[in-house]
Amino acid sequence: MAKKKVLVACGTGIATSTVVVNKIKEILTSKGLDVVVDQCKAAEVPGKAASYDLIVATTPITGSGDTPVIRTLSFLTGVGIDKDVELIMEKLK
Amino acid sequence: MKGLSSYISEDLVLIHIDAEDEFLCIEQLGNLLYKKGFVKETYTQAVIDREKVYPTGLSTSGVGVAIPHTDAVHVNKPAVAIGTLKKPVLFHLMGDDEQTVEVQLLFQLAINEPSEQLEMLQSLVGLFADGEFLKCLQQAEDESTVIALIQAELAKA
Repeated sequence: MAKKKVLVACGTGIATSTVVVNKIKEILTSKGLDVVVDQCKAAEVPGKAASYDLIVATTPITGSGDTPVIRTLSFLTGVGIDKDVELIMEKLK
Repeated sequence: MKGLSSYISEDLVLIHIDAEDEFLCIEQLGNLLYKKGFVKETYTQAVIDREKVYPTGLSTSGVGVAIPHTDAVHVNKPAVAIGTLKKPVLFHLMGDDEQTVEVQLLFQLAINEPSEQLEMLQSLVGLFADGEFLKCLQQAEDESTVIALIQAELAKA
C-alpha cells in the first residue's frame, strides 16, 4: 500500500505548521501509521491538494478540491487533540 | 537544535502590560525585541500586519494565549519575548475572522529559520497544554519568576 500523504496548511508557513507537522508525524508513527506529512502556506493549497489524502489546516483554506480537510487548533492548544487524531486515522483508512 | 529555554531571558519579559488592544501589546514586545537587537526596525509593523490577516490567538484549557510573529527577513537573532497582560486583551482566534479570545499571555516570536527553531516551537506549544501552569505564569509578579516558572515546567517534560 502506498504511503498516505497529509498536507498541513497554516497562514504563512512560518511557525504553526512546522509544529503541527511534527506533532502529527509523532502521533501517527506511535500509532503504527507510516505517513508522509508536508507543510505549506494556505495560499499554496489549491496547487498541492490533489496529491494528498488529507489536509489539516489551522486557518481557512480554499481550493482543496476533493481532498478532505480537517480544520483544527488542537495540535497547538492540546484541547480536543484525541478526537482529532481519531478523525485523522479515520480519514486515512 | 535548541529548546525554548535558549530563546528566553528576563530581558525579554514584560510584566503587566497595560494596553488597549492587541496591536499595542504587539508594539510593546516588538520595541523590546528591537531595543535588544533581536529584530529589525521593520519587525513590529510586519507582525501587526500579519496579525490582521492571520491572527494568532489560541484558546487553551487555562488562559488565552497569542503567538504573534512574522517572516524571517525582519529578524536578526531568534528569540521569544514574553508578556503578561494587566487586563485581558481581545485577539482574534487563529484561523477565524469572527471569534475572539481573551488573551492574558503573549509569546511574541522572532523566528529566522523555522526548521532550526522547531524544538523551541514544540516546547512552547507543549506549555499551552497545561492550563494550570499558564494560570500560574499569568500571575507571576516579576520577570525572573516568569523565566523560573517556564524553566521548571520545561525541565518536567
